[in-house]
Amino acid sequence: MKRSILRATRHPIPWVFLFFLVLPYLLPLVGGYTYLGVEVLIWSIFALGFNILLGYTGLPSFGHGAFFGIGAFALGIVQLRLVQGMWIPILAGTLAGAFFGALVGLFLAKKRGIYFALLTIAFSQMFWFVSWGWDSMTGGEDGLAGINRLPIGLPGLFGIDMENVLHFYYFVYFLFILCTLLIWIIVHSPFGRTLQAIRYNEVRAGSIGYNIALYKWISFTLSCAFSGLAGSLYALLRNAAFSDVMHWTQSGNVIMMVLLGGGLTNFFGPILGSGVFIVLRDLFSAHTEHWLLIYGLLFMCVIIFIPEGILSLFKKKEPVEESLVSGKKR
Amino acid sequence: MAILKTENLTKRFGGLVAVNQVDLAIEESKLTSIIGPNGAGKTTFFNLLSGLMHPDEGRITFEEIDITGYPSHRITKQGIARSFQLLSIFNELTLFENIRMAVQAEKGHGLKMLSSIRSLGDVNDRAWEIVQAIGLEGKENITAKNLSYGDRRILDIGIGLASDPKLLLLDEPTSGLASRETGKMAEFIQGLAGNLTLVLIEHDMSIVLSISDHIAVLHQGRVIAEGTPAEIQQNEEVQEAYLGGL
Repeated sequence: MKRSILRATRHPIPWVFLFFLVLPYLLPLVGGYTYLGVEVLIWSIFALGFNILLGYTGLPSFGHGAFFGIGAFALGIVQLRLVQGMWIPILAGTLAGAFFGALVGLFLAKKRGIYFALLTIAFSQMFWFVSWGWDSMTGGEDGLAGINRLPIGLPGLFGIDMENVLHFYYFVYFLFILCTLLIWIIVHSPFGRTLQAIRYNEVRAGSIGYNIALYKWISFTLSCAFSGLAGSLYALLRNAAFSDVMHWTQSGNVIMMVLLGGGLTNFFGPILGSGVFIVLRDLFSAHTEHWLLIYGLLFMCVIIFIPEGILSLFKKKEPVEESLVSGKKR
Repeated sequence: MAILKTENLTKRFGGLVAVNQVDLAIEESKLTSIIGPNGAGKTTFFNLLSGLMHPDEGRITFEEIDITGYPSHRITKQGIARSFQLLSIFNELTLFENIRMAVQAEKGHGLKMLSSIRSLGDVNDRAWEIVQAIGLEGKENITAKNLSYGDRRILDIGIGLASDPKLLLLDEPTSGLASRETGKMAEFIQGLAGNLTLVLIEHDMSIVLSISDHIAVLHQGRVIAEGTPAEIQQNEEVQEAYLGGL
């Protein structure tokens, strides 16, 4: 018992959760504000889910902004037209991301490398044009305004006001915990191991009996579900959904977050990357509209000097196999 | 009895006919070697059998089932596994994990998303058996790329064995090995031969002649001779095409 508690304190996950638990109280100390914290959490969900595809399966999608945007619009459309509330619209956003991801994934599952990347760009542009042009559904240029953060609770008994940003922060924090745990379990499961095997040697993974196209398709669909969830939370945060949330630059942002933080070698890379990206954007954009120039330079330095991302500086080997085998030796 | 049969098997690359109307029957529980000069189409033939390439003409039947055009993962499920001339292992994974991945596929656990790999007791036990069977226990935690070349060759075959095949295709398992290791590899292959059907592509004639039950000679994509080692040694056409002064 004591040993397992000790082991738990060495695991990074509780520390990450503790950090975000107190973050709203730390942010003002460094000139930040709670809204920024919510953004970091939302982008962390997006980037962690995206990393199932990029980091673990090794598939470079340059179009995941589209599924983020689909989540945002699906939430807006459902909340404004069908169901007043929070849970069902958020679920709708997540499922919409997964559904369109599954659809697009059918065309991508047998592609690799540059062909895969180019097709993801093409599809995301397609979705962006649709969101831009389909006035009656997406509001076109004006987007969907009037999305509400409605109270959460039991109707008639109590409700927690979500318009309060701090309350909304903890609501997103709760979902962030669920997503982080779920993604952690998935990437360490037999399925997650298979994705990594495909990344390391696709031909061999196929010839030991894995249906590569099926695994790629599932990986793509899963990552799109998390994109959809993150997008729907983003629409709630901004009280609106605009076409710009599915612009290709969003797809670039999430890639930069994953790479900067070290997502290719560390599970937590995407979280750190999201934090650094959002905080730097906030710091620099207060002084100059050309903040991306500074960020771009920083990004280049990271790619040149620590190509596996910031967290690769603290890389530690996970001794998983050892525990498997040592059990046999006894 | 033939476990695998090819009829009229043909593969073209542009104008080049790499495998040309090959009719071959592989006898069950025997060790069949395929020899032939470089460019004779041996590896292409293996690629067709293992589903990495699909033939332009002809048929492949395995245990009476027509498997022509099956993708590689389905062929593995049918019971055909292979090793690669240019090593194909998971360099970034440990030796144990390399084997474990193949066992996990064989036992059909790959799609489990919410369980831990520790919970797959049958997989871990079987993987451990394979590690012992290929004689690499003690090295199971070494990352594959840090193993010696000889050990990586053995691992490449071990991954094939982990698929629990009925038929194992070995593509030049001694390629690049030092002479001392070559002897060990020949012994290792002979040890496997008792339990499963083997097809071996090999350049080292002394190995081929000493361990094969049956030899097929490929030349410019065609089978030009078949027979026991003794028959092949005496075949004039083979001597001209391949054996030269041997």
